[in-house]
Amino acid sequence: MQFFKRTIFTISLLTCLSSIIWGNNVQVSNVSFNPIGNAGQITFDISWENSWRQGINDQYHDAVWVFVKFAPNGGPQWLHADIQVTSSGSNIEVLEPNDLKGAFIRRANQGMGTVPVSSVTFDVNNNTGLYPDFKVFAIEMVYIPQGPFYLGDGASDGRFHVGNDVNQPYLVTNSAALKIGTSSTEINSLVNTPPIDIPATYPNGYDAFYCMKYEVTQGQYIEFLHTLDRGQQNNHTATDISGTNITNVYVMLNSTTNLGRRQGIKCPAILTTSSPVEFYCDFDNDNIGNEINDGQNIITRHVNDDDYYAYLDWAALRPMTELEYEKACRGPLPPVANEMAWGSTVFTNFNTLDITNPGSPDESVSQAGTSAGIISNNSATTASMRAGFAATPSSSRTLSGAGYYGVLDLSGNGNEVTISAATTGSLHFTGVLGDGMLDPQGLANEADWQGRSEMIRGLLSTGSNHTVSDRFSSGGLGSPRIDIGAIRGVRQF
Amino acid sequence: MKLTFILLMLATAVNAQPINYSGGNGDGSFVAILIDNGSLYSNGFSDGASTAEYKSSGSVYRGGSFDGFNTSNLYNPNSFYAGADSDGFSTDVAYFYFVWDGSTGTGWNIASNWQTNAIPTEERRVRIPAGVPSFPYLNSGTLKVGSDTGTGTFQAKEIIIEPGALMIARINNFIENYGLICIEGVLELRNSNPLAFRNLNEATLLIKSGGELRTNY
Repeated sequence: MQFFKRTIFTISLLTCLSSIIWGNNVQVSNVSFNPIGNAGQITFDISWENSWRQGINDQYHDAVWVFVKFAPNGGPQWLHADIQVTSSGSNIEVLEPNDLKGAFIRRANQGMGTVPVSSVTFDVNNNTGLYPDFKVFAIEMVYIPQGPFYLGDGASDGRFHVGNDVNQPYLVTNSAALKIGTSSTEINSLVNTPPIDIPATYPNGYDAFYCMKYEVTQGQYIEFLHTLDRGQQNNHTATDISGTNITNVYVMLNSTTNLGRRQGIKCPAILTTSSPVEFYCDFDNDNIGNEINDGQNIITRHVNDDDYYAYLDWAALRPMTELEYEKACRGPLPPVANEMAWGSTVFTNFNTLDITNPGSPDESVSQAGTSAGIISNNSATTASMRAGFAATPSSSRTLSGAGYYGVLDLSGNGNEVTISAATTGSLHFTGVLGDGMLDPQGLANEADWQGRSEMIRGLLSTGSNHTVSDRFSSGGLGSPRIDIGAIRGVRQF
Repeated sequence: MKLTFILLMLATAVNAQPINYSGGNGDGSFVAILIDNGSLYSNGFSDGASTAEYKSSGSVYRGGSFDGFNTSNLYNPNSFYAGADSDGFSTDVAYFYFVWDGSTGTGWNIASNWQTNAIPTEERRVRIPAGVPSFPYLNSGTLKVGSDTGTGTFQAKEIIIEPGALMIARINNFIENYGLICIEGVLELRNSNPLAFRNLNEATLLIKSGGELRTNY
């Protein structure tokens, strides 16, 4: 009977999800600020396409994480604003977190489709100083609801499993501590075994959270850099940009050229002595920045630990744990041996010649829409693609490469950096959220994030190709900038 | 009897939505988990960790990556995904501008000629609007536009001369642009020196439709 209940449960979930679509094209515009005393109100318009809000208790929905930065006295320092909603259009619902570091905006009612342009006004609670500039940032997110899920798939390298059977996935049923051991009620793993029980304070994926739908793009990373002073910027580029004459203008590669690495973030060859650098994208290396085909929507790679943590702290998000990663991929479904994020072992490699409209907002591959599980062969020339490149107007979960809830690129494109469960230090991570502010060097300063090690997930590795449960690659990004990781954050609400 | 009915319903659902494991377009909207006799997961349904949710004796599995476990694709024929601009990120900015009001006269470095009642420095973005009592005249010295440019007689980070507005650089004035000068109205250069106006360090001079850069003086 349990079998049938579980089957029916699965059917009902899929009925809800069968019409889920992948949202995109968030737009923020018409930002204005009305000073009131030392603070004031900020108003802007927001819209996005292909939103959804469905299921019992709205368990399936997308949302946009918005946050505000301001620069008193014309900068160069940008500060994070604490905001509280005062009014919003009827098409949207604003969810305010307790820390006021931003807000989630989702469609007002159940349904799907475009969220039309809607105005929203927030009180800014900070002393904004004289002559402040304001920037509003919006990041598309997907809700991962509370609920049980499986860890491990019985096949992948280093996978989690039930303590007494390496072939049995472990079912996480609550957010309590997970006991490490060799009995049928305990959890264990093939390699990188947690040295202590997984504490209840370590986000184990059972509780709900929002996950960035895509990895950080190059245009997005540039906007992050543009809120930093020159010294801080220099800590988040591979090229040393402290001088005034720059040879290696492709700053994430520390190179004079793009060299087919698909990382087109560039700086001018001549810089002023100390003011912030105005970066731009020049994917096609024609010295004309930010053209339509200059790769603004390609994900940012060649980041190191400092970049990864700083971006998430700056955006008032946090890193996800490797357990949350499996939840975001698999959802409540039973594991499939060696499955990738789209719930299947089927995949399709592409190569450079398959890329269509390279660098453009609609960059894709020729197999898009017809082949399942499209992933790079991981060469330098294909490893970084437009965020969500495989999705098409009619793509399914497998065709678009989406996780169960609609998060894109969890297997393939950039690899996923997660807080590891393999070290005692990392297991003491409690999921503290970024506060939007960095230290004077431009580095993350959340004490909860210090001394953590990472597990790279969704990785191409020998024997288990981008599989959800592969946890062979511990150790994280490290300091050298190599073509491994990308940036993706989460936030609980 | 009831159990049999449910079984029949499930079988009907599977048959109605055939599953194609070859990754093509025929993906079913129903997820079933195939049980393979060689599977690691063939140990029954009651261990709490089994992936065997439905045993399909009439499976339509037709080969491909035979791993003993698989799911159908979640097929959504009505997807509205637009397939472009899908980076999931947007930003917009509201800059604070020092706005010229010309209420006292033509002098740039007179605080009361600005709405802020303060003189712009190299950190300030400047707008020169139309319809003011007087427009700015830059006398001898240098206007430096852009951050971190060193001392200039007149300073701004960026200048926008709006439609219908006028800014005049007089005969002994020089302009060095390290940032952005956007002309939607008129910028009149009265100094005939070839170096009267220079764009430096990849600065931008933008003359929009209807804008004029007058240099015949």
